[in-house]
Amino acid sequence: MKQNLLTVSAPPFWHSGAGIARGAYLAMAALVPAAAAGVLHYGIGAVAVLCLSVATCMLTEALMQRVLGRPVTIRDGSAALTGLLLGMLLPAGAPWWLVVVGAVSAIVVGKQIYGGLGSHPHNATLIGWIMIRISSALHIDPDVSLLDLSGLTGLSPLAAIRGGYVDQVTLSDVMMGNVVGTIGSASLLVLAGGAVLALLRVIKWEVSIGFLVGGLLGFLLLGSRILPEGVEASISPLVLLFTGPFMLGAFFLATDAPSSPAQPVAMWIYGAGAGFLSVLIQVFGNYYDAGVPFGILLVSLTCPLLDKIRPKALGKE
Amino acid sequence: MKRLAHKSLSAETKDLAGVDCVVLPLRQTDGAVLTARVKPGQSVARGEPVAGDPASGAARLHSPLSGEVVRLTSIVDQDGGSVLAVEIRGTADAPATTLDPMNGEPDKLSPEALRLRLLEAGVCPLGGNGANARYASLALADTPPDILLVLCTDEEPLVQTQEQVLQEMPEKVIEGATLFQRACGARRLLFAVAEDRKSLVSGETLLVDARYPSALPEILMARATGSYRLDAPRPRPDVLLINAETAAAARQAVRKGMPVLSKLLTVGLDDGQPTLVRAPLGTPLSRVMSQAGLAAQDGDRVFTGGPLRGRAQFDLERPVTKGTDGLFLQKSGKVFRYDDAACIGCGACVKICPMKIPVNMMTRNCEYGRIEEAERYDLASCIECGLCAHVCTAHRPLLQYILFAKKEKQKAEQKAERIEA
Repeated sequence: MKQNLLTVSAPPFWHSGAGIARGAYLAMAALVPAAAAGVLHYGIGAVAVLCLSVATCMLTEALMQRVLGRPVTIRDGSAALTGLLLGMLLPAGAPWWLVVVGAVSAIVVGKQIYGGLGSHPHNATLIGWIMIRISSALHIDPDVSLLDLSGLTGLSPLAAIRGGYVDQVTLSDVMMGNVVGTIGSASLLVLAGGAVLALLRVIKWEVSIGFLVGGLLGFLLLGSRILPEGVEASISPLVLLFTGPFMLGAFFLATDAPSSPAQPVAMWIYGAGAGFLSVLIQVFGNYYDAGVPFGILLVSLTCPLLDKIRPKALGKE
Repeated sequence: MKRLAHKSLSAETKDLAGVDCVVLPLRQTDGAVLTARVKPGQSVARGEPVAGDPASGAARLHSPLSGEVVRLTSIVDQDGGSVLAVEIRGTADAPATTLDPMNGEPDKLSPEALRLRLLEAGVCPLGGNGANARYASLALADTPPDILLVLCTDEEPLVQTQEQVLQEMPEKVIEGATLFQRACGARRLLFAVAEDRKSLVSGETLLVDARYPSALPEILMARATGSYRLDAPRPRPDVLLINAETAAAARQAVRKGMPVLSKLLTVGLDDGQPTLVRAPLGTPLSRVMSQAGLAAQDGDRVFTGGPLRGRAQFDLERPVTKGTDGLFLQKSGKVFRYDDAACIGCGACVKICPMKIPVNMMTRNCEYGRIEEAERYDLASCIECGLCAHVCTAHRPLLQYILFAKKEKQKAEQKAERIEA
């Protein structure tokens, strides 16, 4: 009698359907409205930056994996997501080489040299961004790189606030990205996309809420210190929360799975800590435009320690 | 995403007819290894014992067919070891040889006589995902437990066997449970039952949620007693767990003198409506499947037990045993393949773990056999529910890593014992 060759494996035989690819593609889909707003606002340059960033990340990942003899996994979307996030953090006028250097750094230094997805202790996107931010401050600054874009006038919101021109910055403008800034400036759309991801449990929602709480608290306590001395004005913490990449940080950067804690309590502390540190850097730091990237990167160093805060397992006497 | 909840179904039980060859492994579900009392060529009657020694505490095994012993053969058991088995050819149509019925109120019957009767009739833990120590063995219950817990719902999604038994014969389950209580001397009798079946049982109940893993024995025993006691030997000395089918079998053994000759199974596609089949013990799995209209192709997966902690089968000529609660076919297109991938730290396993284990860290250590480190991350608390692997974003075979580490630990301990001895 003919015996069938059956598939044999350890249980379980069902899977929930969660996956790296599912998470990455959902996250990219959630970024589409904000990216579209960026393209509408900044023009074709934004398309070029986003496409170049995504393509470079995917290509670099494939090349690195080929060179290192690992399976090529660019289909899982994680490299593409890194690229998309990096692009959203850049101004539409960023020169091509800046984008390429950032994207290559993100994949090589941020991810693959540690052993690939899951092994890297930092957010790869932020590693790439910080490399180019430190090495080429002018080209990454929207106030400089967007100068030749017609129709955009004024300063980027954060620069305006720090200069004391508070009345130039309105809540609706920063929410919809109607500002001089990076491609991902439409903070309200980022928030909406992120909220969907949180509801779908694709991201660590504890981190996002913690980040927003930490940030809001920081701005409530210290927001007024961001204005230059002697300026008689006040700035709403809500405006600050929607300014710059704060929402991207809360929902897409701080929630990066490998570089954030896995224990629920640790997630809250990590999120709130990163949010608060972002505020500190934005208010007092020299790299004020890099508050969110530095805040997240520094606090993610503490993740192994934070993960030690865990409940006692049941059944332990 | 797939919801892991138990769905009740009302279906009729079909008897599997025309079985003419059975293979009976000489190991009971409680782990007792039996010696064959029959020889090849010997004729046996239906209901005649072929192995087991009630006097020494081992439940008997009976021939479900009337016919002839063909041979004693060695077969591969579900964990890859080998076990001796008796092969019998014959017919299941003959009336069964029974023992004398025992009448009278349960409290008038002597516990010793009841216990002997249960062992003589081959009542040992039925169902419960095959041979494991989660269910109590009557033979091991030397000191009376505090609680006799009767599981009247199924451990895993898809499986309907225990609910069906309760649905079909609630009085027999209740009477059997009372007789079992008398036999083991438990002070309390507790029925673990789904909310919507509560009216079927009388007495003290423990309501069981439909969501997995609410009906797992470890969790129910902890709810009944207030503590997990995972370091205590298994089965637990303070609570005895049986299921509805075992209780019903106890009733038949005492009142009718009927030995355990068949097993009720939930059979079906893993994504379809299952059917319930009563098959003689020792029936090849392939025979049960064809009765349910299932045919396995190359690449399909066939598993006994449930979808979360069942056992994949490689040989469909393996027999139905007293522990086979479910038999399911998963078509090759639906087979999920776990990966040898790195953990990406999403935290889903940590969140879903019912035992609050840092699963991400524990399984990283389990994977490489780092047992001591894994124990520092609470390996001992794991009840093997399989939820971590079910939700793993990176598709890591987490339960496999855990089972591997536990096996390695067991091996190391056995080795240490041997060196000492």
